[in-house]
Order: sequence, then structure tokens, then C-alpha cells
Amino acid sequence: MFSIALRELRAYFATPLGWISLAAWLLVTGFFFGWSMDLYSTVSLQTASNPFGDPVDLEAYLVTPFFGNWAVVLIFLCPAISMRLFAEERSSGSFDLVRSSGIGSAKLVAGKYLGALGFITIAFAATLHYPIMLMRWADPDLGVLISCYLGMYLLAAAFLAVGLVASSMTRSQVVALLSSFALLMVLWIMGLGEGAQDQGWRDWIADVSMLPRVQPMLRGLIQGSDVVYFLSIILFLLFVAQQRLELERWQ
Amino acid sequence: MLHVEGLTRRFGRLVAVDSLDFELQEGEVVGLLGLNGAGKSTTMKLLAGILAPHEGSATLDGQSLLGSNSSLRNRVGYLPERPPLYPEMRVLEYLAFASRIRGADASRTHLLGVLEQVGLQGMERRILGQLSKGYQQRVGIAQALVHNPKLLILDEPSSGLDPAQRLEIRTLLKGLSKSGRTLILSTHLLEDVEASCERVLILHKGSLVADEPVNPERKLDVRVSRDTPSAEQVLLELFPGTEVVSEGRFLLPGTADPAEVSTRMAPYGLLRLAEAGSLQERFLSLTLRGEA
Repeated sequence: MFSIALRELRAYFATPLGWISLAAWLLVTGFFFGWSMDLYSTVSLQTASNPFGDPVDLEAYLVTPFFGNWAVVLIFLCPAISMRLFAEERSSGSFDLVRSSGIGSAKLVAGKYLGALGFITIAFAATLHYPIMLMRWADPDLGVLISCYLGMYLLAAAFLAVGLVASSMTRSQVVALLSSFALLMVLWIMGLGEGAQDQGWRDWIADVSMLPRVQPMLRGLIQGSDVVYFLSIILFLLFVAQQRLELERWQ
Repeated sequence: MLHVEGLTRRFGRLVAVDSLDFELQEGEVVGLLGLNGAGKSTTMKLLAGILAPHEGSATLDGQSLLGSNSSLRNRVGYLPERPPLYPEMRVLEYLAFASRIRGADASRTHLLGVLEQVGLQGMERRILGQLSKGYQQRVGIAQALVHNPKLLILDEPSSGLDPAQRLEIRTLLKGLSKSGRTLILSTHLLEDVEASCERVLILHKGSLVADEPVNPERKLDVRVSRDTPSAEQVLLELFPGTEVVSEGRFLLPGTADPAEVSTRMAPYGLLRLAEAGSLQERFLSLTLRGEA
């Protein structure tokens, strides 16, 4: 399983896909960091000119908006990372090597997933200079920062699992990319319906949509139920991918 | 050693492999022949564990080969029609990966030994995607050998190669056929089967239509135009077992060297020198039956 994961991780950096994705990720998150800083300074200036105004909350005006925007980037990044996991192997013929090696489909799925997750971990680690800068020049709540990172990491992990399932269904990377992107867009749009008037509709959205589960973490509130929700979604999706591979042997 | 019984695989309504029965002994080298769509690749994928059968069984030394028993899978080496390579990897790195996922020895010494076996010494740092097709095929064979399997399954190892590369692979196959492993070789090149295999299995529309030694009845069909009694005398003397079919036509034993026959019969006006009962003739008679 770890041999598969390591090969996947190396493959990202042996091709332009990994480097381009990483560069795009840093470019866009850098833009959002600058934008959040700008928002924070504008509000700070306005408040400073008001003698009765409260001090501006760094978390509310900088940290939460900054990390909140990551979700949009991840909707694009995760399908790009996960599209190749199975589709590329199928189209190149290299899938026969792993299928004939005797490695079980569960280990194969887990290995592929860990490889992609490894890439996301590196991408997240490459953004650590943002909180370091904040801590150098301001006084952010470390707990909120950790909570934001955890929330976004769980969201990325779930997005990757969606992409892995899409990739396990096809031999075309383009089809895998578009189908996982479409699915994530649907989940995103559903998340916007959180403010729906109808209580039943609101409850249903809260149950299935991933984005409302991240909101408390962006405010620094880590709830066990949200973490369990993400882990359950990930495990369920990995199970679906594993079943798909098993089915392929019989179909 | 390998026992296949009633092996059946369907794709929707199509029966790709239909109740296949055969046995292979240890060290036997067998050619698997058939027209396109006869079920050769499906049979190989079933034995390699890539596909699951709908009926039947295949056992290797008494243990089922069709489940996901990884220790048993490690006793089978498989080269698919298209070598299963990762183009961005280097040769040695790839072999180490192929070895590790099978839980086999991935030491540098062992891997270099495998590379030497397939004639790839000195190429361990080369990137797979930049190798010629012939060398890629050799790397594909190396991955099938890296865990020292008892049963080696090669699906069209000469497919898509130029004549020089085919010759290289044929030489390699000859070497493998003498390595003591049980080998199943699927190919459209009958010369490869004749050069490397002792036995041939011929599939047609998913069914086994022949399981026999390679060229059991191979003979040389010779026709001359002049002085046939004298030609008959020369042939009988040189090639005992020569049959006289009619005036000027003889059937020589398969051991006769065509070049020698050609030289000796030239003074008698050699009209025809062809193989009769050859693998090609046998193959075509079995597979094209009722096709026209």
C-alpha cells in the first residue's frame, strides 16, 4: 500500500501536473491572502477613525475569509489531482501490473488515496508562510488557525475521495475531471441553500452538504460530529471505489 | 502443476472463454494460438487474476489461482499485450516498484540480475517513456520475471515490434523457454511458437479446438519435373522415411533441411518445396473452418 502511495506522490512531481497545480494553488491562495489583508486594513482604518468603534477582529476579517476562499480553489484543485489516479493507469495499460500483482483492491484504493492526500499535504504545508507572517506581525488566535487548517484539510480529503471515485469509473482523465468537478459544484451550490426558508430542505442540506460542516471550524469551533461526518464520507467513498474495482473483475 | 477446468468467462451475452480444460506440467512451454477475439487474452487475464471467471477453476499446485491470494499470485508473472509501464519512471525504479508491490526481493543486486537476464544491463537509469518499443517490451518481461515466478504468462510479446526487435524478443523467449519455468506464450507469430514451444493450444471462438505437440505431422512436400526414379533414390537415401505420393511428388520427414533438399533436387527440376502438416496449415484448418 505504501509503495503505491509513494509512487503516486512521486508521479505528481515527475510530470508538469504536480508542479503546475502547486504553482496555481500558491498563486491563488496568495491572491486571497492579499485580498483578506486588504479587507482587514480597510475595516481597521474605518474603525480607527471612529472613537467609539470596537477593535477589529483579526479572525473575523482576515483569517476566516482567507480560509473560507480555499474551498473554491479546492473544488478546482482536487479533481485535477485525483483525475489521474485510476483513469491514467487504465488508459496507459499500467493498471495490469498492479491488478496482477495480488495486491487487494482495498489496499490499492487506500494507496492511491494516500498518494493524492500526500500531495495535498505538501500543498497545505507550502501555505504555512501565511500564518507565520500573521504571527510575526499580528496576534492571531492559534486555535482558530489550527481549526481552519483542519477544516480545509478535511474538506480537501473529502473532495479527493469524490475525485477518486470518479477516476475509478472511467479510463478518461477528462471524464474523471469533469464529473468530479460537476459533483463538487453541485455540493457547493447545495451549500448555498443553507439559508433556505423551508426547515425540511434546510435540514436535508445540512445532512448531505459538506460546506456547512466546515463553517464552525472556520470560526475556530471543532465539533466531533463534523470530524466524524468527514471521516465517514471519506471512508464511504473509498469503499465505493473499492467496490467499483472489484466489480470490474466480474463485469 | 497448472490445472484448468471448465473455465468460462462472459462479457454480456458474448462467451469469450467457453469451458476451457487443459493441464500444464512443470517446465512446459506452451503456445496459445487463435484468431483475434478467440479468447487468448481473456484466458491469460483470468490466469493472471485480472478478471474473475464466471465458471470453472484454475489451480496452481492444487491451490486456486482465481482468488486474490497474494502469495499465490506471486508465483505467476504476467506480461500483458501492452507492457504495463509508467513512462515517467526509470528502469530500475520501476522494477523495484514491481517487486515491492509483490512483496519480493527489491535489492539492487537482484534487480540488476533480472535486467541482465533480459539483456538490459547498463540501462537501469534510462527513463521508460524514452526507450524504444523493443526495450520497453524487455522491461515488461523483466517485471514479469522480477519475483521469480513459477508460471510465466506472456501475451503477444512481439506485438508492434519491427523485424529486428522481433528477432531479439524471439532469442529472449528461447532463453526463457530453457529456464525451467512453465511458460504460456500467446502470439500471432507462429515462428515464435515453433521456435520456443513444445505444445500448442489453439482457441477458436472461446473454445479449445486443439491441444497437441507443435508440428506433430510436419513434412516437406517436394515436386520435381525430371528423372523422378533417380530423384526418388537420392531422397530415400538422404532422408529415410520419404514417401512417394505420385510420380515426381514426395513427402519428406519434417526433420529434413529445406536448404539441403533444395540443393539436392535442383538438378531434377525442383517445382515445389513447401511445408505440409505445418503449424500454420493446422492452425488455419482449425480456425478458418466455416469462416468463409
